[in-house]
Amino acid sequence: MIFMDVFEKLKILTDAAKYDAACTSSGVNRKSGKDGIGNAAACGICHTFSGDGRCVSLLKILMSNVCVYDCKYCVNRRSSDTPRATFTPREIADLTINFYRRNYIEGLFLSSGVVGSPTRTVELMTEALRILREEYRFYGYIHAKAIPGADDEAIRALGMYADRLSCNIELPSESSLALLAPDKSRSSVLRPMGLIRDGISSYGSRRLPAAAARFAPAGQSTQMIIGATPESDLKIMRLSEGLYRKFSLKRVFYSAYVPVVENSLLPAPDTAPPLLREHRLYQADWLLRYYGFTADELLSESSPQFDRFVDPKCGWALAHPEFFPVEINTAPYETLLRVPGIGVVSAKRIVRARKHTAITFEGLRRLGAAVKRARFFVTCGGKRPSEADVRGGALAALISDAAAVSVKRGRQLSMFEADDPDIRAVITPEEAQKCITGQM
Amino acid sequence: MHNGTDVKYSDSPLICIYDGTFDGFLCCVFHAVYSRSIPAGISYEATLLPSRTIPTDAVKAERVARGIKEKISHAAFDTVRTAFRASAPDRELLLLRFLLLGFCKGGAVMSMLSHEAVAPVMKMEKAVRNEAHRMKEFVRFSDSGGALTAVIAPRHDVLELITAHFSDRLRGEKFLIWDETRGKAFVYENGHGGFLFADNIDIPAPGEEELAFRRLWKLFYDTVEIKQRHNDRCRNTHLPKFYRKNMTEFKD
Repeated sequence: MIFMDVFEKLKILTDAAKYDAACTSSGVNRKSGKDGIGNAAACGICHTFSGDGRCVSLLKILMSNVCVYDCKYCVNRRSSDTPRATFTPREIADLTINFYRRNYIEGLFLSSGVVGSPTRTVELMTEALRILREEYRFYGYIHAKAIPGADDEAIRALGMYADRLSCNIELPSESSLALLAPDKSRSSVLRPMGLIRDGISSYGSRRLPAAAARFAPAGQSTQMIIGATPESDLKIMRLSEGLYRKFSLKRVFYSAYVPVVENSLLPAPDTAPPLLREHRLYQADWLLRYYGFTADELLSESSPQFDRFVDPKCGWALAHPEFFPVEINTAPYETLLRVPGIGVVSAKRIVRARKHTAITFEGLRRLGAAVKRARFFVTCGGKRPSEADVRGGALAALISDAAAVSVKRGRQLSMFEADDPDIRAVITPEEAQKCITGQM
Repeated sequence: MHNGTDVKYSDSPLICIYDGTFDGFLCCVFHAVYSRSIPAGISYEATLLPSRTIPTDAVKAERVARGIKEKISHAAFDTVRTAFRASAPDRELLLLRFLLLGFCKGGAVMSMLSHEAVAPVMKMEKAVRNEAHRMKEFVRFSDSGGALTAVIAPRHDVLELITAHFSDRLRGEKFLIWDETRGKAFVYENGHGGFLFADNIDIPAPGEEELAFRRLWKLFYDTVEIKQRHNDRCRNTHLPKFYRKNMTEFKD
C-alpha cells in the first residue's frame, strides 16, 4: 500500500534532484532474464518531456536531501532552509518497479545529499539498487551518482549494480570549486572518476543476473554548472576535451545555472539561466565527440567565447574560407562533416549515395542535408548554387533558429553582451557578411 | 520478375483498387510488371474515376515478395514492408515506382538516396520507424487487476513493430496494447503473444493502487520541470500534442 508520506517525499526529493542535467538511458543493450523484468536499449528511450522541454527517461530522485556539505550554489546545502526528506531503499525500489511496469520510465537515476558520511550514503544507495537487481530481478537501466569522498570499496559495490556511474565536476575550475564548494576539492571529484574508469575496464562479477553483472557497462558521465562562475567557453571546452580523453567519459553535461540562493558570490536570484550559452556548449561538445574538432580550433585566447548569432560549426566555417568550397561528390567523409548543414547522418548518406549517382543540389536536398545552410560552402559536380540562391539572406540562413528567436525577442543573454570587454563575439555579423560575399 | 535493364512502362489512366493489405499491394505490383504499365493511382477506397480491381492472390503476392528479395535485396523488402505501414498519400504508387527502379538497378537502389524514386520511400520508412520509437516511449500501461493495458492511436500502423520490445521487457506480465484507430490489439500472456481485432474493447476501471501510482507519476512529472526554463516549443517538438491524449501525465 502507498502511504501519503511517499507523495511528500517524492515531491521534495524530485524537486531537489531536478537540477542535474543528465537523464540519458543510453549506452547498454541488455535483454530481460527469464525470471525478471525489464531490459535496456543502447539507443536510449525518453519517456516523456517536461514543461522545460527536457527529456525524462529515468526516475530522477535523491535518496535524501539531508546534506552535511554547504556548497553555495546548491539548493540542498546544509544552511538552506528547505524541507528535508529521506527515502528508504525499499521505497525507492518499489517506486521504480511500479513506474517501470507502466512504461513511465526507463529506470532509476539515484543521487543523494551526504547523509552522515559519503561512504554511508553510498552504502544506502547500494542497498536500494541491490533490492532492485537481486530481489526484483530488475534488468532495466540504473544510473547512480558516486558521492565524492566515499571509500573505493563502497563505490565499487555501487558500480556493480549500476549501468552508469557519474560524479559531478560541478564547477569548471579548482578555484571556483574552492570558493563555492568548500567541502569538495578537484581531487575528491577526480578520484572516483579515475576509479570508475579503471573499474569499467577491469571488473566483472557473477553476483547478479548474469547479463547485468558488469561494472557500470554504460560508462560514466559528469556535469558542470555554467554561468555561476567566470570561466570562459574556451576553458570549459578544454576541460571537457581533457575529460573525454583522460577519463573516457561518455558524456559531459552542461547545466545553465539557475539561481536558487541569494549569495554575494553568485549571480543575483533574478538572473535568467544562460540557456543560449548552454546550447552553444552542447553544440560544441558534439563537435568534439562526433565531428573531429578540437577545442582550440573552435575558440582561441583572443576570442574565448562562442558567438551569439552563429553556431560553433558555422563560426569555424566562416573563419576558414580557405577550406571551402567542398565538392560534395569527391570530398572525404571527414571533410563533409565540417560543412555547416551537413551532419553525421547526411555525410554518411552522401558517401553512400554518390557511389551510384552524381549528387546535384536537388539530390542533396532530397537525401536530407540542410541545403539552405550548406549551399554557401559546397559545389555539386563543380557547380555553385545559382546567383539568386546565394544572394540575399545569406547571414539569415546561417543564424541558427535558437539565436534568431532570442534576438527577435530582444532577450539577449548578459554573457554575450558586446559591451562586456572580456567577451567579444567570435564573428561580428559584418565580418560574417564579408566572408560570405567574398571569394570562398 | 524482370531482370531487364531498361524495361519500358506506359502510363495507364486506370486506378488500381485493392483490399488494403500488403499482399494485395504486392498483387498490384505483379499487375504493373506484367502489364508493363504504371496505374494512375493505387487505392483501397472506391472511386468514381476509371478503375480496375486487383484481386488479392497469396501465390502471386509470394512470387513478388520472393522477386523483391532475390532481384533487389532483403533489405529492400524490409524497407518496402515498413514504409507500407505509413499513412501517406500516394504511398502505394511511391512504393511501386521504387520497386520498378529496383528491379532495374538491383540492390544498388538502396543506396541511391538522392534519387526521386528512392528518397520519398526512405522518408516514409523513417517516419514509420520514428513513430514506432515514439510508441516505445509514450505507451502508458494501467494495472487493471494484475494485467497491464495500454491504448494507443498512432498515425502509422506501427503496433507490430513494438510488440517484441514489450514482450521482452514485460516477459513475466500479462499485457494488452490496443490500437484504437485500427481496432487491433496485441495480447501477451505466459510468454506468448497474438493479435486480435475488435470494434471496441472494455478496459476495467482503475483500482485505488493504480490511481495512486498515476497521481505519483503526475506529481513527479510536474515537479521535475525547472520552471525558470519553461519551454513549450521545445516540448511540443519532442512530444507532439497528438500523442498526449493517451498519456497518464496529461490526463486529469
